[in-house]
Amino acid sequence: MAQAALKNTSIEEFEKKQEWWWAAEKRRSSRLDYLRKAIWKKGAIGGLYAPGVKTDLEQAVLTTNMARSLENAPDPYVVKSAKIFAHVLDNKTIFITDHAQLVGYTGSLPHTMNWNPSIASILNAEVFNDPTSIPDPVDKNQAVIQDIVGYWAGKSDLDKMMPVFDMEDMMKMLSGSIGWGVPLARGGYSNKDYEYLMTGKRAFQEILEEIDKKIDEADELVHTPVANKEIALMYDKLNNWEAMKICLEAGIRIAKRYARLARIIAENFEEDPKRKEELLKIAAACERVPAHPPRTLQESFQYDIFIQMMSRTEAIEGAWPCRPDYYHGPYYDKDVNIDKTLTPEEALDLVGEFLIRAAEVCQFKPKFAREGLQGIDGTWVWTMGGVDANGRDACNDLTIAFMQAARLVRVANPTFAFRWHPHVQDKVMREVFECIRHGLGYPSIRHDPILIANAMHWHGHPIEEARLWVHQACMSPNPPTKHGYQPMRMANATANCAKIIEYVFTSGFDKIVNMQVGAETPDVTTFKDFEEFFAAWVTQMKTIFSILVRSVNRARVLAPTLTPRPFLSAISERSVESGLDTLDPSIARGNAWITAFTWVENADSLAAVKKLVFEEKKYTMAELKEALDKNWEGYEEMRLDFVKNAPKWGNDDDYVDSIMLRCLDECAKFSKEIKCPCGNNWPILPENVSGNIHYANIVGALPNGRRLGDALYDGGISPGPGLDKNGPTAVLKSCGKIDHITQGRAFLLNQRLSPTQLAGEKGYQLWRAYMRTWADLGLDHVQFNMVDDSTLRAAQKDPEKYQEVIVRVAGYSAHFVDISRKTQDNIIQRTVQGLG
Amino acid sequence: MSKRDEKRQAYTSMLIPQTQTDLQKPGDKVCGNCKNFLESSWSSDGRGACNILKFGSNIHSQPPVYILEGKDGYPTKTLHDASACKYYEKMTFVDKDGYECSDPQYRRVMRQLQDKE
Repeated sequence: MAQAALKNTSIEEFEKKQEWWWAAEKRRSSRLDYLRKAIWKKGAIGGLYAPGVKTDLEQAVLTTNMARSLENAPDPYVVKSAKIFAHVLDNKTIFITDHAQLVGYTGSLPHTMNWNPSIASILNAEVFNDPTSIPDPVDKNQAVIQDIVGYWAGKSDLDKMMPVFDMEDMMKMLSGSIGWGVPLARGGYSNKDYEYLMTGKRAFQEILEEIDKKIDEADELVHTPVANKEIALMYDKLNNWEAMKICLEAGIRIAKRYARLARIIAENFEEDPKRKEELLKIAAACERVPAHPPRTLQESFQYDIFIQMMSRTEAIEGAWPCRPDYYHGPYYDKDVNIDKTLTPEEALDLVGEFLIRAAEVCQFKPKFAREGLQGIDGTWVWTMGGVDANGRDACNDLTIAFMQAARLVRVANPTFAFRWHPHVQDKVMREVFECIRHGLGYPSIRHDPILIANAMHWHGHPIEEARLWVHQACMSPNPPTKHGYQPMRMANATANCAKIIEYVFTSGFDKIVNMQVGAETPDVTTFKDFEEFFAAWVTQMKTIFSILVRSVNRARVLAPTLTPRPFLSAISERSVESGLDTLDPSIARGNAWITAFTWVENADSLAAVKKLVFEEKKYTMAELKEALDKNWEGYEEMRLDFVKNAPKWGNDDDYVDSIMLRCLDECAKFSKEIKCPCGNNWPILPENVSGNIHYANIVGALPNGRRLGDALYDGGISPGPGLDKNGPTAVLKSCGKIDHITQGRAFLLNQRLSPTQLAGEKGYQLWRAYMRTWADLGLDHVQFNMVDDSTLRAAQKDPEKYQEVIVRVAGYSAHFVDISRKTQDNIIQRTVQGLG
Repeated sequence: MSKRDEKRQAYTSMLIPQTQTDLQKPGDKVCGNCKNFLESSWSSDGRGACNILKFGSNIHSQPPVYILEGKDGYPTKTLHDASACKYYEKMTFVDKDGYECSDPQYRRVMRQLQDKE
């Protein structure tokens, strides 16, 4: 928009037109406006990165050089890993953005994407192959990348893992047909032990002292006149502790480098006295954290950013599990309400900047992640609200500040997920609703009592720990506690569930990738009744889940020795205490889950087969098999019959809903038969991110009337787009038939609401009534898109004018213009629910 | 030879990561620019499979071995030499910019292949 038009239009006029992004631009402070516009758009647009965003070669070169120099060093592997980590932190380029009060970035420059070449050689090859993101001068840097790719071939974590996985399972995974992700300790979603780290009791220096004590005790033990297994294993622990110390000391050093840089600028270059003061405050903060616990809100945010930056130096992080209002809230309260060293407006600036610093974080991601998470770098779903360990309302002033800041800076990542419980105050709910009404697509709403009970049911977390849960990725709760926190959710246990029903028709042969992937169940035409058909479905489900889970279990068992995480261990109480790597299953309770992509197609397909083939006998199974084999070509009339005349999930129709429940029962039963190395269960979690688009060309024709290439359903339990004909309450009633405690880990529900209908106080009251029904029915999740079709279609037509429109894709939000046309269309097709 | 040994032998090539030498420019006829190549949706480092040939085929032997029946696919890579393969069919790339997604069969962003265009 032209500056003059922006200046001449009032905030109220923009809000009336629901052009919230312009209103936000006018409302926010000049500092926030500058910082928001100064960051680079890092999420992949469709499948590739935006022009100007480049892969950062600095960490790759530092890592490779250090690895080469350590090749013949007499260090254990875990110590070498720690030394490489420290070398990167000690030598990486650091910068401070103008007007910023918080510092620290994963790359060496603001437009770069961090790349750690020691994790996965397939990723390294992708860096080389990406035609757009190699930095200038391309020829020279291509040669650098070639050298790095060559060095790590056979040495990366993935190369160490692959030969010790089952070859057949690996081939099925590599086909890309039944799942995505890699079973690696340094690639996925790391939760943190926030109860150890973020409660103000200790920081890096205090942990170093704890480790020194442990080393002294161990050292004394190994030199007593005795020899046994405990002592034999103690040397490994000593190595781990040494590695942890190297990481923590490097963490303190890099913070001091930032402090020095801030002081140098303040004392030698900055002329504005106000900015000079800010730079000195940055210096003071970086001298304090992460060495010692924070004292102020600024230091608390700074501490958090450093931890995330270091974690992303060690690993590829696809998520950002945290609970910022809970852990930073006491500092907000102290600074704003008690000491009054910050005004609410100044605090809001800091909160907004904290969101912006997170939004700019980026690491080069493999293709499946770029396509599956279009528009963002990873699912930074930040947990808000909820209860404390005693079950009391944990919402605070910072919860509200985060909601307000989100509406001002309007970043698509991070997003929030709000833990609703019956005691949340109305003023908080109003702030939550305002974010949704402003079209952010977040917060998603989570049912705290249900999810606490769920965490206790599936993984045996004690109630005091379960109450502290954070989102480990988009959806799954995990307590950030000593034994409860999961150090790595390996994304490989993500199943493309539409293949379950597809394989029933092909006896497990995958026609898309041309190989036997599923179980060799009998020819579908031999089934005499629905029970036989359903039994084949159960067999295919178990086969697919097992292949994926086996590889994650294997990786988890091997991780402590083959792919250790010394930094993450150093900030985990259980590792500092035991001397074991934090991935070691013996010291964790376990919090595994199978993400179930493309799930609902199963219920609709099974219902269609039951009704039209087995009950009404309108078609034979041979006819259906033939039609699916031909991708419904030549069978359009029959296809429409399967679309229109078979019951569909989401209409409060017991016929199909009971099939959904039966499928979930079978999965829940099997979830307790398969175990993680910690000895705990593997419940399923139906959701999709953009997997419904990524898999569109990989899933063949299905009995719900879908053709190869058609977008799959968008949610975990959302009805198919346009197939929910009976209104929002019917959707809730269908979803409410599921037992959200015992039938799975969590269930993602997308809903679209009309922004016109939900305007004003009346709109809020309508939404509250809807949410009361949602809560009463015991659903664990719901999230909303509230941008109307006309805006979205205008954005498709004229993307330049609608750069700031945000939509809820699945477990995350994205700027509408950054997602592929197919995903855009899929969002527009979703039914707009009228309330009331 | 056990079945496990057979599979390991056939699949080993798929598990070897690309080295520096692999990244040189390929010949004219490689699996990656054949219509019958299915790039793995799991990664874009060049892994994939043939849509025609089955497990046990070998397009690099003299003479090439073509197996068309079977339950397991023939794993191959984008840059594998396909000059001797009688099923090779040069494909036309329809989406060269790669910003659209979810169409792995027609969106191959491999730098080496683009350089040949």
